[in-house]
Amino acid sequence: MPEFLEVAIDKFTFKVASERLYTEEGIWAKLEVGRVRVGLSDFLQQRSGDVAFVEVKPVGACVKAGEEIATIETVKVNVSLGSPMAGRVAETNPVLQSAPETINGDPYGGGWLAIIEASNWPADQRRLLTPEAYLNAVKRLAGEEASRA
Amino acid sequence: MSKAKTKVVIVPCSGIGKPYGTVSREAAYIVTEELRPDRTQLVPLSLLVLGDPQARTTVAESVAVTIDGCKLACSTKMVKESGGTVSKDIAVLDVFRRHRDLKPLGIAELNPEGLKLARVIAEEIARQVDDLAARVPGSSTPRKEEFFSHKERAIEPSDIPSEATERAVKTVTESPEDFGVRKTNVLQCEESGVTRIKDEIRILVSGW
Repeated sequence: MPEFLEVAIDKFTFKVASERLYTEEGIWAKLEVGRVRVGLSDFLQQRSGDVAFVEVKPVGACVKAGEEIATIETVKVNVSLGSPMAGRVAETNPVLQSAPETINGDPYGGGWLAIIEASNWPADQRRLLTPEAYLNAVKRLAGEEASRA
Repeated sequence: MSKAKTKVVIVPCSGIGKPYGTVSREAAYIVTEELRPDRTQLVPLSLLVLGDPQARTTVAESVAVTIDGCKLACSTKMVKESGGTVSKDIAVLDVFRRHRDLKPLGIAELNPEGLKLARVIAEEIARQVDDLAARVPGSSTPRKEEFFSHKERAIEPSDIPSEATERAVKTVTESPEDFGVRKTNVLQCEESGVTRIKDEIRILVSGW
């Protein structure tokens, strides 16, 4: 499988990274040695706009699946980001405090939000979308927005 | 010499329908019409994009301050493309990050916070204009060649010990935000091998 799936809609190109699972809202989850790294998809960061501020739940905080794990304030909107799974926040990305724009520049790499010690990953992951399924969701959502423009 | 040559050129974003673009233009108006009308001149980005000969000549012969509404940085790119020299490029978003309570909203008419943000940016530019003027002895308004000849003198090794300079440049390069220098500028400067930004850093920390 290629590293990224891509779709071009209007003048925009959206990338969906492989080897991750996604919520419908555009939060990705990547399993890493018993813990799960999470971040924003390329589509979600492009749709939201340039990020001005990021606030992530502190290390030690417990979240349920779908519960807010972070908020971002962009030039366009304030977005509440739901956790893809239940668990405890083990790490947050320190880069985002001084350089929140990293989310826009590198959403699948340096712009990650947090690492979570998942409490029920086998069950939670079944509710998430595969890269192919999320790509279809992006096509649908971006297509709807393009038709409204 | 034309009047334009003796002024600092202000080039704001031309983004229409975006609050941050509106803030950039509002800031440009405050500087050129209220704070420093005698030392600055507004050049519309649209004229540079159209290739207007007078606008290009004005920019090419002057020192410019650009105000960009988004990361595309059209104003900065267009001034450079027109042969101009950017002494300071201001990104509205970067200033907003330092003033979170001043979130700009509205397009045709900015909210009070957006107007305050524009004034903060305008005052920053006014200080930059004063600083540029102060670097050129005997001149209240620097021309490009005067500005750079003076700057070259300012970084003579006899003025700043080389060891201290290198240490300062290293510090600023590693943590540019602390000194009001945008990291992207430093990185671009390093990648292209251009030393001008580093020279500006040397001036910023000349009191090291």
